[in-house]
Amino acid sequence: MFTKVLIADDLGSINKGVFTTLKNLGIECIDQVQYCDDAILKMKVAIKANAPYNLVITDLSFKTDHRKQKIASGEVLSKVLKKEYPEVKVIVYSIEDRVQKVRTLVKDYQVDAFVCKGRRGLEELADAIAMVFENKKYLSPQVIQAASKKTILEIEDYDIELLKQLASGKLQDEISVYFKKKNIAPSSLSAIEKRIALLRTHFKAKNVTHLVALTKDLGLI
Amino acid sequence: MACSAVFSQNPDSTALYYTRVNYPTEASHLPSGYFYYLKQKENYLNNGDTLKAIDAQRMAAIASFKLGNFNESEQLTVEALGWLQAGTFPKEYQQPRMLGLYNQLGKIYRNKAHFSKALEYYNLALTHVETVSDSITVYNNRANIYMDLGEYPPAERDLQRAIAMSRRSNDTLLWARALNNFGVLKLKYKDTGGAEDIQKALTLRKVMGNKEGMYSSYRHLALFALSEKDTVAAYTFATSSLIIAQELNSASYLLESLSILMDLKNDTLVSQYKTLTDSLNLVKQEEQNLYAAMRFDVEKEMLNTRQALLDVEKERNQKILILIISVLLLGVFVLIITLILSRIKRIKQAEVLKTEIRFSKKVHDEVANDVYQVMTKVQFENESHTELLDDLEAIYNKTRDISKESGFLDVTNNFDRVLQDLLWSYKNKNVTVITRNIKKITWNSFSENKKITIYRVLQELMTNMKKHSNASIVVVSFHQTGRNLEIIYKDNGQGCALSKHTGLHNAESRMHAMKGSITFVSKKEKGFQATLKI
Repeated sequence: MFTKVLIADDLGSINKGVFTTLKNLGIECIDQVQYCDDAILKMKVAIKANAPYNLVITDLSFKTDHRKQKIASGEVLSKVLKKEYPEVKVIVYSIEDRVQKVRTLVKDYQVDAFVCKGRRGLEELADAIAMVFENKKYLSPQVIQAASKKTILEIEDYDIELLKQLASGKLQDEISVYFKKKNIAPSSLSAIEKRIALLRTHFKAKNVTHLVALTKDLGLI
Repeated sequence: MACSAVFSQNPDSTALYYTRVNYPTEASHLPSGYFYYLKQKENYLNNGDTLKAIDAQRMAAIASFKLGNFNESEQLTVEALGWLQAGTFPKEYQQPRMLGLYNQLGKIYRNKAHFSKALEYYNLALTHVETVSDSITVYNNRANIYMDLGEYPPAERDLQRAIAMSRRSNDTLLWARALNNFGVLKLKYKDTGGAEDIQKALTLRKVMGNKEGMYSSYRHLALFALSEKDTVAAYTFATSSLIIAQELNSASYLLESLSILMDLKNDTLVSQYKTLTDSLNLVKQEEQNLYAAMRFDVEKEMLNTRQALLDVEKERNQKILILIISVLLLGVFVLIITLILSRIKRIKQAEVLKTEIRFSKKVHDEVANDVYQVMTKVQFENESHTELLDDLEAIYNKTRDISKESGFLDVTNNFDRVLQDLLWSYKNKNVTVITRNIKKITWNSFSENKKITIYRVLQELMTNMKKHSNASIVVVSFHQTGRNLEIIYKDNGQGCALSKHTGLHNAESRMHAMKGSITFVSKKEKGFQATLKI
């Protein structure tokens, strides 16, 4: 397990939760800072003392106060950390759950994990630490989309045509013949079957008739 | 009444001074006429009667000429000519005045011995003649210039024209003058027949009682006789000219006559005295000419300086005027800008206030109430840890939703992805979200504000769906025609009573702010539909 962890978070109470979680994981050396600039400072000192941190857990948002900061947000901090000290692992632990931002952190700044603060936040954090220690990435379930190439289903003209043919009472093999004639691809029976199955899953339709009824109700056909 | 008094005596005085200037008999006549006409000119100019002012100025110029002030006369004549050329007058008023002024200039330059310049003006005068007598006068004058220049053939041509014309029109005086001049010309050719012509002219002038003409004829005859060494004839003619000069009371004529008579006396002392006086007079005249020319130059210089000063003054006034206008315009401009800015500020402040009220209401309704309920629960019920955590999580999520509603949004790039992420976040095991044509929209052709509006409105609709609809499927279709975008949101939920939801009101006001529109269709158990147009 990690031996030396640095926490950057301006809220003492949440840090206490994190502290407990880390203790439970058997991590002994835990340091806390409330400013991003201090985090960098601590990193430098630790390296000089030949006892570098293995893991940094940072929040994204920091309150601004009278102390002027060179690094004002956890976003910049993670970017700097990953650039200057690639060997250190970084976990972002934040209230933020906008996929777009998470994607930037994970894809562009190479952050190792993103954990959403929430009801299950501390449990997820423990999971994340375990995964990261094994050089794996971790994302909270709310933001798992950030790492996935999949998006929500986009209905295409092909699907509309397919549903229309189904609505007109054609059987699947009849549709295949019809598509071949009309030069609509893919027209193989297996492709048509697969597509109908996909649509049924997305629309949660019990059968083809139900699928047609649903799409009709939604004004798609 | 002083004014009318001056004008009532005008006709009489004008006639009086006209005679005085044209036929002066006393030393005071010319100066008094000169001042009279200068004053008249000012009056006419003040009354805006330019034609009469020109006439008065011309009379003043003639008086000045006769007084020997050729430079001043020149100045006055040129000035009058300027007025005549600058104004627009009927031809019948303009032509005779042109002729008169050009002729006057010719006379002036002849006396200043600028013969070629004089010739120029007589030529100009000829282009404006309208009557036969005018032509004859100008031809006579031009012939004299040609004689001065030693160009006899053109002089002869002009004089023959003048003689022929005056005989045809029976104008005895002009005929006599032409004849006299022709005689003088002949004498220059050493043609003694000239004397006969002069005699003939003298006879005509005697008949007409033309004293000045007679004087001229006698003088020329005397000079001719003197050159022929015919002292008797010369003495007779000179004496006759002297008598007429006395009658005319003309100092210059007297001087000329006496000069010839003295030459006839053949007295060495007298002739020495005369030669000396002549040379002294010549020097004096030269000095006077020089002085006059210098004074004229100085005056001209002063006039120029004054004009330049006036121009500078005028320019400065114009500059000041332009400056004042610019400052005024700038002031108005600044005022308008300030008004516009303050209006924008007011609108913005109102907007901020509205948002603040909305948020404070939200915090009060959604968060404070829930917290209060949890507090009462903790106080009076023996709630389990899990239940308490559930309640707290609900509150926590609400606060997060409120913060998300106004957070920063980056919509510059990959807006379709941003939208998909938004819609995706509402997807769970009970709710499917499906889009149509989201990738076919050219998002870059829409402004950031429009994109943010679309994002926020869809966010409101999806939140609304999650809270109230119980829907299992949501379809969001996009359709673009040119710069117009239509978005149809549709779910299969239980529908809702539209008026209740503040979220929908917000969506509506957001769309209106972007000059877009949003319409809702909802039937119980038949789902909910919203159509956005922007």
